[in-house]
Amino acid sequence: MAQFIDLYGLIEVILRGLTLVFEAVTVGGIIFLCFCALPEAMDRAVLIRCRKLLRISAMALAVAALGSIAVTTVVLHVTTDGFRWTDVTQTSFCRAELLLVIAAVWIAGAAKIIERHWLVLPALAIITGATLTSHAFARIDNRSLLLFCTGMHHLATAAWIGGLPWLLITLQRSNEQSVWVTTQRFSQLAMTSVVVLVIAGIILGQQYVGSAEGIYGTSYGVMLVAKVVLLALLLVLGATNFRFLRRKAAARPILKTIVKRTVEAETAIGIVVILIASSMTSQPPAVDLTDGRASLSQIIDRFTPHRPRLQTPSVTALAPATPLNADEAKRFGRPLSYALSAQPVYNGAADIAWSEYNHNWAGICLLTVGLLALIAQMRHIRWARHWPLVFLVLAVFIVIRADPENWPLGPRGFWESFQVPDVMQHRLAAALVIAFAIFEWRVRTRRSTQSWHALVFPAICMVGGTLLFIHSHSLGNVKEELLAEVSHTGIAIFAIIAAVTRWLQLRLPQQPPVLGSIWAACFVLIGVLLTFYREA
Amino acid sequence: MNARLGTNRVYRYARKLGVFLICLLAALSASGHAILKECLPAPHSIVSGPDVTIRLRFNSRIDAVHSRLYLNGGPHSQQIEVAEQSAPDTLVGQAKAVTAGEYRIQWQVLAVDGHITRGEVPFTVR
Repeated sequence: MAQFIDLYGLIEVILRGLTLVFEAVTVGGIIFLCFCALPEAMDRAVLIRCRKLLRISAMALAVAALGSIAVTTVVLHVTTDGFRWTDVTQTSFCRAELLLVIAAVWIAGAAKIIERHWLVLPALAIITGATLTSHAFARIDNRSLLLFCTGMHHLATAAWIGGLPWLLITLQRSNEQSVWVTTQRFSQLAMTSVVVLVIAGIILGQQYVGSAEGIYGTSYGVMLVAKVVLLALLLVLGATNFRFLRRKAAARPILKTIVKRTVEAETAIGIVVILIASSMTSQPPAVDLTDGRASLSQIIDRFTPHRPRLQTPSVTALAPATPLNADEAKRFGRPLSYALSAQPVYNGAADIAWSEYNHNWAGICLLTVGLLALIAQMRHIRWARHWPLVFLVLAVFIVIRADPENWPLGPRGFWESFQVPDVMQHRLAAALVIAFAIFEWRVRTRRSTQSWHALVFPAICMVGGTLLFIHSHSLGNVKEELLAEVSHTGIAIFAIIAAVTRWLQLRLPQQPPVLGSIWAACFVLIGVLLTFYREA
Repeated sequence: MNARLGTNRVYRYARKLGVFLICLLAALSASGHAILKECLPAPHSIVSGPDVTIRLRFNSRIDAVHSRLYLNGGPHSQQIEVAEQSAPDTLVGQAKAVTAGEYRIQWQVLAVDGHITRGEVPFTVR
């Protein structure tokens, strides 16, 4: 149970992310079916798929919201003296989540049998429920304004991002005339949504961030910047589609395929943006964090390139391993961190040097990968196509050096080390890097017979970038951690751009050469960020 | 390459990727968002006993009924009864018969948006 309570914050973020994603898809679907689709011209297969997706997303939303109630109830029951199970029904968050659950179940059950326009009612109930579990509901000042803007923000997100999967279904199966009218309508709806989203976002940003210092000096602000950058990327893709649609291009098969592929990329980026938003809801707004902010001069100083650290300190110079339990305390000869006799262990110069060395060498690996990938695109230099193998070197490097308190360098054994979250994350990262290397090398050298192997590249970049975004929110807003987080957010943005451009390169009927240069350039830029990464 | 990548297959893989992503999220950590804006007694302050008024103001609306205050340290620990809220962001309580010594106020609050946050404030009673 103690471990469950420790995991509460994490589970809460996951459930919140799922709730927001399924909320957007469910409400977006109803908006799409009511205002964009042409029911009379709709192919029966499309209608069946739409109903199926609506049922699935609504039920998933209900399950996520119920999960959220359950988790919070368990934690309250265990940690709050005198809290009875039924007491949760008296809390405002539970009532808001229940509103969401009832509305979602209504949609799932009635999607087939009632007029679509009646579904607008439960859709509005979902938006209301989600708004009542947001930051806005708990604010002291300007609460009404914040609630209204949050509701509009959710609604616009659902109409635009939540509508994308529905547009994809329509693009795949509908007849040409229906596709043309539907995409035109969706395009207009998306443009209106973007305007609402931006206006509401500016007001919310002004209230929650408050100042320029709040943007660059806090985790909340840095994640907001990431959201804005990805929103800009979405707008670029949306504008590309809009350009095609204005020419009635959707009616032409090849351009219809281009629109489909771009919408796929938009959908993936949209989900990442929603997941970033979910992790922001677990953070205090920047305006409330007045202590421990990083100043602009500190950020500039940290990002001014210095000579990379290419010599490692000795492992014996590092701070001693922190025991996790009594057994380890005995073996390591050190008190437990929470024992009265324990002195806190801070990162010394050697620890910082160790970490900088790791990041800088990883950067050199990425720089090599990016440059070789660029060279490989000049067809006469064939040996450069083996660039994915450099990632194997990086993976071995991560496993050996990322966690010196653990196997193979530290006193904690291989299996025991999996209970340390950081180690778990690093090993997952190494596994992803190895998978990337093997699959992409086989694709490059034409050893692969499976076409899906090529998709491992964009998938891993998308997953890795998303994890970096979500990972970057929880470090307590301590200044040093924030400074590290800024560079990691930059890496995450480049990873997402690399994923999208590679996806489009694979999926578009005509493959513009510039896409290959963009993802390779992203690797180069990630390499540069890591090569000059510093922690002091 | 494109011709071989059927759309249905791509979506099948996308679904698998979604499940994988959720599993990976489980390796990450998170934090709550209620922040203590003002505190009485102030952290590391020295106050007079035997009765100590505790007043905590947060950055968000707090559900006082489902929030708890505890006083730990000294010869004994006690749960402090939370008084009726005078302001939606504030918890007030009274610790009684507190002898001289070092103490920590341990608080756990439920914000009205459903986030649970915990913290503690060390202080000394003379």
